[in-house]
Amino acid sequence: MKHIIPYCWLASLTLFLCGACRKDAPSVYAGKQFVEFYYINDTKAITTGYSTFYYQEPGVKYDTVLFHVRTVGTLPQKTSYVKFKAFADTTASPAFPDAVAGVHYVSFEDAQLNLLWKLEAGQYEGYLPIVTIRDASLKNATYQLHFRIDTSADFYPGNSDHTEGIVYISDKLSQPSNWTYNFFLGTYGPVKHQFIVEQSGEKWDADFITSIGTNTSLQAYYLFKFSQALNVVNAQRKAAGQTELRENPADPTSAVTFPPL
Amino acid sequence: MNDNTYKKSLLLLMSVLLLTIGSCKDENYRINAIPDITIAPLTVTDKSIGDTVKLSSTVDYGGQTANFSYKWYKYVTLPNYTQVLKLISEEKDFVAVMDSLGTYQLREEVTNTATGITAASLTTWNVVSRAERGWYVLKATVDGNTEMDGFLLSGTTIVSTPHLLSEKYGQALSGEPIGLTFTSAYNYLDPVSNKFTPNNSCLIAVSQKEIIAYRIKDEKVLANTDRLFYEVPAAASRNFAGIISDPKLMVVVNNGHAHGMNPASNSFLPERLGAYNLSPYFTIPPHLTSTDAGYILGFDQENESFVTVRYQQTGITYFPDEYLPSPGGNAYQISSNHLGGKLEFLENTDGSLDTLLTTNGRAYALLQPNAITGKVLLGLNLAELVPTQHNGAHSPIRYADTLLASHYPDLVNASYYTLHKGQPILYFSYQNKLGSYQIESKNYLNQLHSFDPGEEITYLKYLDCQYDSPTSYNFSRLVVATYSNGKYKIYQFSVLGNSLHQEGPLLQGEGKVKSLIYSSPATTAFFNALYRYY
Repeated sequence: MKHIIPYCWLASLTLFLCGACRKDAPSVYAGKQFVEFYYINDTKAITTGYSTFYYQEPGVKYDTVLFHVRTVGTLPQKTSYVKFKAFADTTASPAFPDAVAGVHYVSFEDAQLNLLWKLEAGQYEGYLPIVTIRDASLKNATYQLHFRIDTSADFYPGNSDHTEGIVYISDKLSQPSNWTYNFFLGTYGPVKHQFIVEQSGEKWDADFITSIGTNTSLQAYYLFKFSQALNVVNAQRKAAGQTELRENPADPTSAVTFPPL
Repeated sequence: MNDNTYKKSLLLLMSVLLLTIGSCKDENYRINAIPDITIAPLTVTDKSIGDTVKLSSTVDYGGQTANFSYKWYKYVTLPNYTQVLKLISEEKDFVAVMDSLGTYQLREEVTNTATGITAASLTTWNVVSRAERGWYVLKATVDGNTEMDGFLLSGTTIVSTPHLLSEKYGQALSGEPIGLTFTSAYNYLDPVSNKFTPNNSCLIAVSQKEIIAYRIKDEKVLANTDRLFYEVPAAASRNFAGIISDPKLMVVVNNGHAHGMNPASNSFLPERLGAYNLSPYFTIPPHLTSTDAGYILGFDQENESFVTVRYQQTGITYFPDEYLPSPGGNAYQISSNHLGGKLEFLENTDGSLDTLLTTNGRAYALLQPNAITGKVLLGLNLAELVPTQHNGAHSPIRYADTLLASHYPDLVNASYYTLHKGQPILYFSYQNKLGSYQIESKNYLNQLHSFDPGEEITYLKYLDCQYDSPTSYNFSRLVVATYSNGKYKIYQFSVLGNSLHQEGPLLQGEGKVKSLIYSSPATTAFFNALYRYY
């Protein structure tokens, strides 16, 4: 009987050691705070905002774009600050030039701005401002401001699919990102864009186009309204000895048109 | 342990066990069992929208008396398709008005207030439409507003449902009645959820000041004037004068200008601009194929010219002064522009005035010329409207005949006209009489039928309803509404040669009839046959 006792001890020791090999909990359950841009569909996306001074009064010098963020892991126990970091577009041929800190937007190092990038204790989500600056260069080109959520004293960046943002800054009519090749008003042109803004009193920027969505009845309304208005304008221009409305007055092939009703 | 001791121990153990078992005897056998709550099953047959369902709960508690509380829940489907229970009532009796179509699932819960024990039962029934087959009558009320009555068919029974607008919309439409039309495809936009529900069969009822979309099957007003226009005409200056629809284009006339709408859409587009003033008379070609729809023939009173209102256009179109050659010469080179008169009637009938075609229909119009005391009867080739035929390339006028008052006094001075839908026969009403004029033979009868002297004829239409299913409901009749002492009567006549035979039920109600429609559950066939009303 005596020879069984060591084996009993060995088995007990093994069981004890196995029990001690517990895996650490994931960070989100370990008291760390994360922050990310608010999203509904978990597919990688750059959160986008637009700052278009074109629709603002001439005296307006600054514009604010709010970005919706939310916390992950634990809720802040105290006022907690988020940090954004701007970065340059590294693609081979960027669609737009990079915005310049202090010229097109308030620098991310600005202490006063940094104080606004915060979530209060117990706050799950919030809207954090990016402040853009009206500069003469925006009359000629749209600038892009790429940035990402950076590690701060209070937050780590959350889901990496939702920690990048971009702001398009302009002071001219520019093709909204969702005015794509199959847009219901046809191909884009700045004269056409200006025409529909004047006829409808709407901005026809990306947000407004998003609000129309796939409402085909509303699309039919706008298409009718603009087609009818274009007929009237062209008739008036013809009566005044002018050409029809064109993107380029010297180019007859650039006449403003809309798809058939 | 020796054998003797073992036996003693065993005996002791058995004694203890026996004592234990013996002590487990019930003190007495007077256990009071709690009775089951038994809910008597409820049976409800199919109900219609608007019906009130009253149910009384019958509960048995093993023949004993007890106090109960009651809860009645309805199963409700959420937008995410999950079903939840919605508390409807905590009364002993269930009373509810059926307000939506479909299956009504009712859960009854009965709870003994002393014990807390609950029993439940489920009762299910269908709420069906009663409204899809029958007559809808647009009428003027005594105070000059617009109401709608229903005469709903269930088998051979007709149920009168008067004052539908007051009942379902809360009020009559302001202003005199203008017209009634139909779409099987109205695209309803819920103002709360901002989501569309397509393919709603709706009546579109129009008064001088208002317009509504009335979903037939569940008797609900889906949209009023404010929601039926993208740019709502100002109420003070609003003056609707006509409405017409085919499967691709619905047109309402406001202050002489056309607002078009895809009948499968949800709102009228802005008015079509131009110096024109449409009369309330329209017609459309037979809807033989989908390419024939969307072309409405009308008349511009400003320029005294026929026009087409086409879908997918922003204005109205005049016909050129070009003429379709016909064998034997151009017998009718009549421009359809600047006709020098006022249009008083326009309707279609079967057949063709086009020597190249046997279909695509023809229309006849009565023009009151400025110069003579008579009327000019014009025949119009509806194939001129259709792009697959002549596409508006020529004047549509292919026939003309002057009807002098000295020859046809009752016809010329008539109040209402209509065309037989199978043959070119014009019916007219003069005072309380009906007459007819056969266009091809010029055979004139001024007294086909006489109503009582006190009856004023307010509506005359030849209705050829061949769109219902089963076909036993179909009919082809001359329909006449009269008004007397604040009430109307609607007569139906079958036409046999030169005689009329009253058929079907006499529909009666209060007010003065302006327009009516026979509605069928075969909504697509109904919609495609709508040209028969114009």
